[in-house]
Amino acid sequence: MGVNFRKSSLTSLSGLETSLTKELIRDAIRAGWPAKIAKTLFVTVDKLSISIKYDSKYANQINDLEYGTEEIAPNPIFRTFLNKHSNLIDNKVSEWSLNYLINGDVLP
Amino acid sequence: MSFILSEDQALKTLLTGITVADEKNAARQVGVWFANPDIESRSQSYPYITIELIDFSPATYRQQSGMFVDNDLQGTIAPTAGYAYSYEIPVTWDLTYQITSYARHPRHDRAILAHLLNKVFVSKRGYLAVPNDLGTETSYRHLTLEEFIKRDTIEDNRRLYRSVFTVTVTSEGTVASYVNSKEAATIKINQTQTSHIPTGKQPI
Repeated sequence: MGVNFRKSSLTSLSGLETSLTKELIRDAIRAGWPAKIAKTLFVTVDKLSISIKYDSKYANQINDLEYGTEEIAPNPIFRTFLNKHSNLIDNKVSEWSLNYLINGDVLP
Repeated sequence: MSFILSEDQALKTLLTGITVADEKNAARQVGVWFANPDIESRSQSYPYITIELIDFSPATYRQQSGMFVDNDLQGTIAPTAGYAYSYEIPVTWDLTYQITSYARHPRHDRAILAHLLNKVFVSKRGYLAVPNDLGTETSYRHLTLEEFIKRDTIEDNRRLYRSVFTVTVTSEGTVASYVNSKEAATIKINQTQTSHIPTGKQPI
């Protein structure tokens, strides 16, 4: 039976956006970002990469928080979050693939 | 100095000495600060650059394990003849810095941008010279430009040109513990010679 390996491996990423979004919002609030702004953040997983999106009406405030101003030091959340998860998708897909090869009747 | 402090100082040294030109001063020095200076200081010293350490994470992609031996404990202790330090290879880290330039004059802003992009992060890659504590050796670290963003604003009806660079510097942590012992004077190999040597063969 043929299996679309790429398509199937992406099933390992289901639910990831929701859990990462929760984690991102929690990180932002813990770092001192206003909850009203933090709660507009969300994570998308597209073409095996993670992106952070937000409500554009808060763009200026979010950029000021992330990069700082002349008066306020930067309080980066996007960059630290993406650093922390830079290998997450590769690891998830690798783990799924290995598990499939061992347990999925692929090998004789 | 040590991990983080050395990289901080090296980055400040790298960025110090930039000059910009305008109608009043052909070689105006660009100040470099760790984080934003007080209002009184900066109002007299535009343009300037700030350096902020914003993140550090274990660099597992280049972590090695094992023991290392040298005679100055990573350049922290002056060597003593005949003695060596043995220690586990330290943890590798990537340090993430935000470098921000502030200017009131558009030409200053462009001059700083040109300097950084043509001389510091050429093709997004550069290097950072980090001398050891003893001043006897210099390690050269990767300095990678990860992101660049313009954040120009208007402040008190005056333009403020802000350029934000996010860069990564490769580094490694401090030695956790070490053994200081005498260097080996002689190395003896194959002290015992076997008597079972096949005919026609020679012992090593």
